[in-house]
Amino acid sequence: MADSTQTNAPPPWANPGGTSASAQMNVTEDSGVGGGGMADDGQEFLGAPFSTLDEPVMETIMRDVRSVASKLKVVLLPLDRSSPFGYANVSQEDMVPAENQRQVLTTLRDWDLWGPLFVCLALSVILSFKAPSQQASAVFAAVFVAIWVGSAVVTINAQLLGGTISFFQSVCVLGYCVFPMTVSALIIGLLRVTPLGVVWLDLIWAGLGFVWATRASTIFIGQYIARERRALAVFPVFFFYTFLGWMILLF
Amino acid sequence: PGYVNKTTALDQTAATTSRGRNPWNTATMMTSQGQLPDNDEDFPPNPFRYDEDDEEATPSSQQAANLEYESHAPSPAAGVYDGPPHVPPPPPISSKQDIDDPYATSFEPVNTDAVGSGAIDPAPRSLENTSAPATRMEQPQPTGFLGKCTACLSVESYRSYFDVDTDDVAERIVGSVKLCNVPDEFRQELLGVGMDGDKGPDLYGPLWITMSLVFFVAVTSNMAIYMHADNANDFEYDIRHLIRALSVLGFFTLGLPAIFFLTFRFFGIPITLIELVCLYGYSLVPYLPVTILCIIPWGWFVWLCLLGATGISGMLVLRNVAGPVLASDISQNKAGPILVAVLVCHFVFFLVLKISFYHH
Repeated sequence: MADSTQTNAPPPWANPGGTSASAQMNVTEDSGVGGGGMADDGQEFLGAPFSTLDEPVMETIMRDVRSVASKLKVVLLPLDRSSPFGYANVSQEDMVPAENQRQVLTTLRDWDLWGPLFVCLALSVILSFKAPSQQASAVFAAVFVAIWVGSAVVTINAQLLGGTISFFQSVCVLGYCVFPMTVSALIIGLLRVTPLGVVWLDLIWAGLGFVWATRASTIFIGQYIARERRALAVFPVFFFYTFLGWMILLF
Repeated sequence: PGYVNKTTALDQTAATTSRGRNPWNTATMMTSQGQLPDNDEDFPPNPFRYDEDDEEATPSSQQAANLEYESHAPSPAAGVYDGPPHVPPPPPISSKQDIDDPYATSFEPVNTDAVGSGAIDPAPRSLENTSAPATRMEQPQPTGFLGKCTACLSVESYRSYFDVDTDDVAERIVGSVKLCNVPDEFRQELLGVGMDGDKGPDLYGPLWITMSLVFFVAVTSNMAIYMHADNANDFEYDIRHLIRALSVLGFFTLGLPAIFFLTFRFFGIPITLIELVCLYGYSLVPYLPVTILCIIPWGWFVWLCLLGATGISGMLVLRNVAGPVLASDISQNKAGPILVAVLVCHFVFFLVLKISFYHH
């Protein structure tokens, strides 16, 4: 069989729109074909199988899981050494993101809403566990609604100020950037039972989470707004993450 | 016979492809009569082809340009190189669309305002497009009943109220405290009411000042409870302050101006709803630092601070509403109670703030 000789060659009947003759020609250039998933963008589009019905279910699920995981990992990247906290070029005329920030923004370009949902549920569950028992459901509801409505309000605010921003992509970026704060909420919650659970250390964890969270989202929102109004669009982002940080510190 | 010829023509093209020659050489595609197939009548005239003998297709200027081009063609001199051949610029592309021509392309720029917000990497829009005051008049008015009903749900209809820069908002925030005692100054100088050149009232300020104050009140009221608690371990955070603050301040910024707007409309006083919402929104500015001061657990101090903030806020609203009220046609014995009602509402708001958030 032809499949046994090449590692990644698709069966001839899975090739998009080609005859058997062209399938023979395509077999030699099989970098992205049949592998699906994590080839880079251009290759993936041209090389992905036209029909994904034939792949195993695990493959389908893992493709989305890998995509979400890669974006979560990219949001947790360490800060760029050159610009302090990564905010330095927000007030410049044409914002050129630094290298780390550019990588974050390009990875977040293919947006999905599974990641923000997962992050939002994780944060709400963590905080409602730590809340006093008769307020647990109110806290869960407040955090959940605050994240989604807050992202929507920040996005619509940026759109109203004249930015041509894509609504769902912006909600996706803001949701993914909540992930550092979820990590810090988890750390605070786990350390509370240990002697390390003092208030000022909690403030440090929450502060770190806040800085990580606002790093990518302010650059993302800021690059679509004219410079005279950039502070007006960036202030709600800071406000949103301050509110979430305050909720984390409370419980 | 024609069918057989076509297959032989295709074989020939396949043969020429392997040899690298131009496969579309029309000489290979011959009909059985040995003539080129003439399909010219199947298509409309080609707009990009300038025929000298076709008077309708080309205007005379393009014919002249064509002749000019041919006259400038250099004659091949023997061994002397004058530089690259002179090529005149191509005839200008007409941007007017030819109605009769189905293949013509219009080169007018696309209006990206009408396109949905799906762009991923656009350049920031230049401010000349958005800050002209004429854009307020040029908003496409929704037609039809359903159009008017759903217009309030689209982002486009509110865009003109967010047409402010950072400096404008900063100026308005500072002016709401500095100009609180000067009649009509805030309205006219900053909000630009009645002036054509300036930007009008905005909704950015009221929205974010209100949200900030909700956050401040929720934080500081719980901190005040913490300060007053006898035992630090007895303190439990109350999330209901947040929800209560949201509803009280939301009503103050949106509901109260709406009620006053309807009242003023009923009496024929010309103030718009946006002005009132803007005024009430910016009047919340003095409360922002004062709520932080209310953490200090001295009873009389908290009363005084809140009273001071209410005074500044009330003066701003009164001074800016009194102008249109007194200038309108209503009789004097109706104008007085209206202004008193404005002040009383402010005082009630102060009492609600103090008693529901800072009372122990």
